[in-house]
Amino acid sequence: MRAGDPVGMTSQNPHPAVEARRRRLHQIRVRIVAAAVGLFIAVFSVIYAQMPATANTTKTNTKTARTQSLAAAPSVQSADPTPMTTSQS
Amino acid sequence: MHGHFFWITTRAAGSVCLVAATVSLCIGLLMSGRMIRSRPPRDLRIVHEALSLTALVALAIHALSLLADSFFRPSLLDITVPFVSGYKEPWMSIGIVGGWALAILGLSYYARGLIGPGRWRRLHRWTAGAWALGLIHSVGEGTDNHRMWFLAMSGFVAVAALALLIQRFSGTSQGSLTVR
Repeated sequence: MRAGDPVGMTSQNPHPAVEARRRRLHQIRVRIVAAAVGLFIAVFSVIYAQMPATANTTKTNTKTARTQSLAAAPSVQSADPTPMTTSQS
Repeated sequence: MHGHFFWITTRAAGSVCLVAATVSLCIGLLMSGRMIRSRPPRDLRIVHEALSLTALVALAIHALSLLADSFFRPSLLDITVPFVSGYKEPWMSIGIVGGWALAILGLSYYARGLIGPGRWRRLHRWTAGAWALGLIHSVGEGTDNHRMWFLAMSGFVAVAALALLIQRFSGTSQGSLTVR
């Protein structure tokens, strides 16, 4: 501690106002990084969902689920051109 | 998924870079034009700096993840030197020039003692040009420019930045600049 330094203002124990400011700036940086990571994950997910292979898989899954629901209710007449499954025949 | 992982990563990182650089540019223009008086400018400077560094990290990820893409397979020269790759020119080269300019002009902040504050401030104004090159690259390259999410996200921030740029360079905020 140098002569003339106020009590409690050494580098080990900074002034509360300085410490509060440092904490606030750290929070700002953390929030910006968190927002950027969040945006990256969101954009990544949207692009991934829109990729042709993913979109085809999703379409196939939807079609399969629809076919299965039709198989579960064979009495319902439908104009859907989906081929009959073995369980329906 | 793993086949497209680096391709999706480079596109997502490019979008994050564009948004972070645009918001950072807006804050820089607001500070230099002294259009914000209610908040302490020192906090805004920290936000501006953090957003700029975030944009540069996203830019590095945008470029480096392209190197690992199994379909495109560019060399280091393809992604760092303009007019070498031949892929979707001139948009690719515009992006490379804009990326280098953004990195050099942004990081020059830490060398402003060497450059001189006045000279650095004049130099730093060209960051807006580097940002414009990045915007032209993202629209011209065309991978996501027809997607609604991209148009909404980048359009919203780009319109705000362009409005601030026009206001700044048309001299509307000159009166407040003299206060400085």
